[in-house]
Amino acid sequence: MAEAKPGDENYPITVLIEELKNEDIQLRLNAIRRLGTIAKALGVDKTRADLIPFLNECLDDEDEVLMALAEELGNFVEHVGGAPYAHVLLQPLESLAAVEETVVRDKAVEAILKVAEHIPNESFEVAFLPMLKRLSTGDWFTPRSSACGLYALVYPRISDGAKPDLRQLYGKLCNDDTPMVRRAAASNFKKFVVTVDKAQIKSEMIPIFQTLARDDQDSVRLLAVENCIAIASKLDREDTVSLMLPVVHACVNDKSWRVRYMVADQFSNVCNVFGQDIARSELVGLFVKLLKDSEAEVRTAAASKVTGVALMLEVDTVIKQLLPCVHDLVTDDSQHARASLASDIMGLAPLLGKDLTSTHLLELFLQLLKDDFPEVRLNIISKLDKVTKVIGIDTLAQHLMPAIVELAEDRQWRVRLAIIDYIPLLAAELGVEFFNDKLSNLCMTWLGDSVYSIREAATQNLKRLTEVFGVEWAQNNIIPKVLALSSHNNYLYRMTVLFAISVLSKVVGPDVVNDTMLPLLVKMAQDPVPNIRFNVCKTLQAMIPNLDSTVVQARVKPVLSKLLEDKDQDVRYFGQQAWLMCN
Amino acid sequence: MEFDYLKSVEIEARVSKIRWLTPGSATQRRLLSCNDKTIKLWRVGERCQREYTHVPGSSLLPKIHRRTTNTVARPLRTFANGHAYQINGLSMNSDQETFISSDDLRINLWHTNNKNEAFLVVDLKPANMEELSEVITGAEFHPYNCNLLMYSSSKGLVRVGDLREQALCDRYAKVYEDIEGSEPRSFFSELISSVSDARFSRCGRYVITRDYLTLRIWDLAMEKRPVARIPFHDYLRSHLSHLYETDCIFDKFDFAVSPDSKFIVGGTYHGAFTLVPVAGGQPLSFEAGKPKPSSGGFFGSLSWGRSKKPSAIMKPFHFDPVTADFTNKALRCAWSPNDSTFAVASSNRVLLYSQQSSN
Repeated sequence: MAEAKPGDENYPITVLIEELKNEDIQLRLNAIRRLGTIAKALGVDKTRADLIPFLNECLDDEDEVLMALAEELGNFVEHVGGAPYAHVLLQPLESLAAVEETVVRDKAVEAILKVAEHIPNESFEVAFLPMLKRLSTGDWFTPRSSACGLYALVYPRISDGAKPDLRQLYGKLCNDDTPMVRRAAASNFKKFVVTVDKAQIKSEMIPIFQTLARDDQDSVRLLAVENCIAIASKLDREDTVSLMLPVVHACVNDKSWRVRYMVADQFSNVCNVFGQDIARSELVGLFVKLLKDSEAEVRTAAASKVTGVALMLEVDTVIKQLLPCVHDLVTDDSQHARASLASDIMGLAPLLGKDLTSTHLLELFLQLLKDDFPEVRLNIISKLDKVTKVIGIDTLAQHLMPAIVELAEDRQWRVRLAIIDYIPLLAAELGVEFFNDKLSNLCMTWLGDSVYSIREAATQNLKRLTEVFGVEWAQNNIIPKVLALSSHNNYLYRMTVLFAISVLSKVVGPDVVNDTMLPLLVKMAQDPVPNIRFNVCKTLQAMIPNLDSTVVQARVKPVLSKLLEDKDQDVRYFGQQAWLMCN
Repeated sequence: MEFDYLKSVEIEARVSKIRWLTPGSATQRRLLSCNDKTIKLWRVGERCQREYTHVPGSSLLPKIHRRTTNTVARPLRTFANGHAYQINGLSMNSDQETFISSDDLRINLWHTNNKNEAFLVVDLKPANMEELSEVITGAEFHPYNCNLLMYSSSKGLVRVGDLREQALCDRYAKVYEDIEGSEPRSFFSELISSVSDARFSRCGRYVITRDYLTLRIWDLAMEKRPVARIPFHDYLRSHLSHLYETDCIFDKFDFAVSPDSKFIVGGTYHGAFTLVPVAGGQPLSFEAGKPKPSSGGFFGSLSWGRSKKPSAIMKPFHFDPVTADFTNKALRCAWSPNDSTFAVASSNRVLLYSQQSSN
């Protein structure tokens, strides 16, 4: 070990280098993350001459260490002397791109892409092309997999003369023996193909794509749709129809539900890329098939795309062809399909307009609003504004209340939590009177829910309602009720009042704070339960930044000074914290 | 040793299955192992010890030399909490990334890169547990069709499911039931019909199953009856009550198929094993020989195939109910995927046999 002592200018680096050799993985990781420091201390020349070769020998380490190393190397360009020398980093990164563990390889590819940005165009081909070829023809499947992720970057930047070889290599990867390589090739295809010229796409890339779309392995085939969309974006309409449409047909009719799922999931994009004419003539039939698919997962995916597809169709088609399927989906066996439909169906209202919505859609909304499954009901409520803009709230209002009440009293607290989230939205839609009449009691009940998360959400809810309806409304409707809770027997309810005050004080304005809230806090500072007393301190501490300093001196400090001498030590502690805020 | 707190049952650290992943490299391979509840992915391979030498004055960084190589196994990922019941099947998919694991009632689909999620693909749990009459005894993926999986049951049935058809494959695509050849009803018939091991053939056209007394070879295209029914150690048939009393009737023997699909090897009692020619012909049974002192004890050799004369070490095995040792069970065997070497596990030994080139 080279002799170095703490005084030596080299000491910090020698320590780090020792850590690089240490058996303990945490120390090695630590050192790797500080590689930049080592490099700076060594200087660019020594970094290139000594450090990089050393790192090249370190590549049989644990996965975590290799991941960290790949990440560091991605940022190392300046440490090796800038753009002219960036290529030296490719050697260790190429090896890292060939290791077994996927996460390490992914990081290495990421780092290579980063380094590539710094390499100037003149030297790009010399630096990258041989490496890419080596990776693409590596013995083991791992470098070949990683290679697939680099083509999109390399291809546009090399000379035209080198391009045919590269396309051919990619074709080989798409036909690789190992399913994992084919899968990597298929999933990177869409990024690569958009860098290729139209003529070559037609002559070379499309045949390759077609073999991928017919692959034995489901996991390769299901990537066909996304690739189809990418190719179609580069072709003109005629070619798109003759070459890509058959693939879409094949996917919709594929034996594997996973492939059909992918088409359903991407169907809006498919429609967009093929254009309105094809959408209206051919694609609508395929979409209907997916909406009626035997596998619930496929129907669920398709249901979420109904509005997206409808946007491309004529209203008449929507009513004649899509609505019957939508009708069936409302009573689908699978709750996930129904929930997915519920989150999308509201979008049809603006499309159909007021009359048609009332005739065709309203009954569907109402049926979904009465669904057994809470998520279905919640999804309808969440998109309510789309409908109310079209047909107004009145027709829905009377049906909404039973649905809301049922959700508000659901046995599962997460359902109750979800409906609270929508209350401000509903309040804004339904208006003050309706709210006061029907919903305000509900909001107060939640303040006393047995689950803490509900009580907390309820207080936040009050704040948001105040923002919707205004301070005066809050003053007249909420504050009295909240304050009334402060004398409840159960201390948890009294605690909730404190949280509510803390939250509401931000929105109600100084008058309410000074006239109503502060006196209450003063009173609660004498509560028999210590938790209440120290939460008074915490509430005051939160409020002080928004209070006028005279008020702080005149009214807050006296309260706190008493609590500083409280018999409970937690009260004294929080009192101290709040006291410090006063000054 | 783990403890399942919910059921107050100890989970043994006993590894019940090992499955190799392909492809591997020259120095590293991965494998899956499982005990009753947990599956682990391991990397097995060579690990070099590094040695560092400093050349003073030249560079702050040392030179690295590689020295001793030893083989290490490192756990990469643990797939836990996927099974409420004992795991009895583990199989890699031909996509080389996903695998299934089965217990009595369910089969899960996992991805080797994701230890936090598993998809349920078969669920046999009845709404009312009292109606339970059949459990899963094993599961395997087809060797090259990524969508086909096969699972065997305690009733002697084999089902093949197609993952393409539905997200939840409870509704199997095909079921293979040997009604003609099933055991005549008796007190023991249900117990001995339970499939203890079931595998696809290498070519993917056949399924081979073993229950307590019989090997069956099924053609996937024919569900009504197997193409071959091979009695394995039929002489045990008259001793079933004794085997029941000693719990031996619950023993789960497996089997292995030669790479050329010409032979099947399976173990029996008394530490013996039987080689069955698939095309028909006399099965040959051998007692696991005593170890030769000079060779360190664990290698035997067996000459079979062309010449029926066994070598000096291998004793032909003839079942004798009086002297047979029922505590020495050769439950596990395996055949090398590339050559004629197979292994049989008997008591606390693993014995390797390979075909001699000529006799």
